[in-house]
Amino acid sequence: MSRSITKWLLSAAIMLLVVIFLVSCTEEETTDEDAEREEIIVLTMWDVSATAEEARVITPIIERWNTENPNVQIRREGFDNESYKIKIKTAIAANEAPDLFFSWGAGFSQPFVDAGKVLALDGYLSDEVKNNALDGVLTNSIYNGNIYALPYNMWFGVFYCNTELFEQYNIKLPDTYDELLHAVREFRKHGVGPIGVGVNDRWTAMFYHNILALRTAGADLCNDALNQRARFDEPEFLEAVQRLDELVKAGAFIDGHLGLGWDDMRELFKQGQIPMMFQGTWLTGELEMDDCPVKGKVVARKFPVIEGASGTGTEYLGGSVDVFMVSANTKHKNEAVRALEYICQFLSEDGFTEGIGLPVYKGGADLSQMDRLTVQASKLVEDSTGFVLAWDTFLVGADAQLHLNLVQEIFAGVLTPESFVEKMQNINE
Amino acid sequence: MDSVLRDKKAIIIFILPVLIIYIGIIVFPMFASVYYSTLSWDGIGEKTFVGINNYIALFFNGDPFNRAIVNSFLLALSSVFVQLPIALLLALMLAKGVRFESFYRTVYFIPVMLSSVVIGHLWKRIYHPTLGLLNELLSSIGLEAWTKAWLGDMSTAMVAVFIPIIWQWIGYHMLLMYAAAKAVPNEFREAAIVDGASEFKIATKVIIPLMKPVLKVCVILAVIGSFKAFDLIYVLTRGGPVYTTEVPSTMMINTIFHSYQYGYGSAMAIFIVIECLLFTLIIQKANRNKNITY
Repeated sequence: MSRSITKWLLSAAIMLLVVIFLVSCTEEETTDEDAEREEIIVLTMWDVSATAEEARVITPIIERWNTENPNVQIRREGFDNESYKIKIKTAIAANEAPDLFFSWGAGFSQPFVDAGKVLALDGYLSDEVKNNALDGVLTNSIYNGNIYALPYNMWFGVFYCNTELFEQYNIKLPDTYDELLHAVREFRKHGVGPIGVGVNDRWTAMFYHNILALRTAGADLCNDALNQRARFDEPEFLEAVQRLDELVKAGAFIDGHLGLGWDDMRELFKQGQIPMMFQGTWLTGELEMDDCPVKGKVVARKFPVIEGASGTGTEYLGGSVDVFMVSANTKHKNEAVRALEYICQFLSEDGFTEGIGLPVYKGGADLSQMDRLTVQASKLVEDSTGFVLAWDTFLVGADAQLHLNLVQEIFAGVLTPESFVEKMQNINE
Repeated sequence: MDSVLRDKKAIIIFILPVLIIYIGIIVFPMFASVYYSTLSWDGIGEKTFVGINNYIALFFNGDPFNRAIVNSFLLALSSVFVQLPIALLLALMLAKGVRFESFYRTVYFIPVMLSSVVIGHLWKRIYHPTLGLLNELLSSIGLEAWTKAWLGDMSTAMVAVFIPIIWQWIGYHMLLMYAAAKAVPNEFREAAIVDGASEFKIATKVIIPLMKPVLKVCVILAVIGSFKAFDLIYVLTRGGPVYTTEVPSTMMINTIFHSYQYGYGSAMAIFIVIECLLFTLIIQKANRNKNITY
């Protein structure tokens, strides 16, 4: 009898231990003991600067803030771009979003705002920040008349050309679409893949469609269609897809592009193996770093114009859509917004100097301290008459995915331009 | 020990903690998913009840989901007819007794222990069109005409993705079969040798029939694993190029997280669960009375 009681006690004790062990293992991460003792506020922050190179601008800014504000410490975590898209959506849905987080404005964050997960900043922002913002940069941070985010840079698409490769094969830098097609054919004759793209990361392919649509239809029609005021199957849009199809069939894009990604494309270009690439201004600083093989050889140009079409060379793909937002669930609203303003303004200015983006606040960047390519790119956009955002940041959810998939199918040669515009128009029906 | 095993109360007490966790982490979310699959929901906002519309859309909307299902069936077939025979061969050879038996056992099992993400990136480097090992190898032996973008070419992507998946799990099945082959009493083997059987006959007429229960388990595991396959495919191609390597689980991730369609994605998840249950039943039924004992 006593033996079985011992057995029972033992088993009960073991079970209890197991349950306690498991419960304690799933507790929240240990809160800062220091923080509790001295009431230091810790703000968590997520962004997409995954590598030390990408984070080279934001890290010193955060360190400066932490030194100047011993009571409010920021802890940043950087993630890879594609995985971040999944991670942030999960976190927000589970109400576990960090205090400050990176996001793309316009359509991407629409569901977050609609669900009330983002802090409306109007009552918290200082007038100074609102006045410092350049014209039009807050457009994609405003939802339903309220400001929900602060942008920290502006990007636009430039046509990067490796002048060394052009000179090597004696090909003229293209200004018009016909010259582009000619250049493509010439490069192919010499066995060089002309234009870089990484279709596995569909947005890099989408850039080519978007800029061609900008050239054939013009900024106003593009923005109208995206805002559901015009149709996606207008003849101008059909022409854009037909041109893209023409480029794909002429072998304009590097071999194996269907399986390559954003990193591959970028690396190949930096190794000097690709003559042309249409990408964002976030690359300018990287392309001029000392250890980059193509340093000094790349020029930033406007994407070729299509003669006789509605679009002009002064219209650009891009805008101010890289933003930071504050979670509606944050416990320290005032501190978070102050940190937000600090980070965004300094990122804007330092980012410009370092060549990862263009400024969105009035600042005093010294152009003479900056690398050649960033200065060139920033001067390029001075004559701009119109901007269109990348379509996958403007469109929401399933619509954006549809667009990306359709572009991918054009690159794979399994879709006709007519089908493309027909399916795109379904978005606006 | 026997008295513990027979004492029903003791069994319940020992199982209870894990059972609670199991129900909480696996069973309950499954029922929650069934509920979510009847909604049109973006995951963070309002929910709208739509009944079985998601399931209808799954098959009749012309989505790539049908393609994904076909791909998962092809993976299941290649698992059963390529992976398992290789594993069986290795298991039989090792069970027979070779030099360095435990060394080979460990080596074949190493891919199973490696993280799928690590394996994915490893094979990505191998398949890379310009810098990859495979193309370099082909060029160096003069077969440059055979080089291509293995993961980028729509005609080769699927096979290219299947190879690492099959490669990774050979060791796992091999180990199960090896244990089963070793469990066959040596007397049977000796008796067969005395009767003048060749190695091949011994393998096919004596060892394999006695391994049937384990073989059945391996088939079930291979099939279900193929239906659920996700990590390697996601790392290698994310379902591309243009849906050629899409499987139900990658589609589910894209639907939920990129298209903001939680309800639709949940319908896919439930479909995978039902598919796995169905095939388990089918395989069980097909092998019901075939356990051989001597």
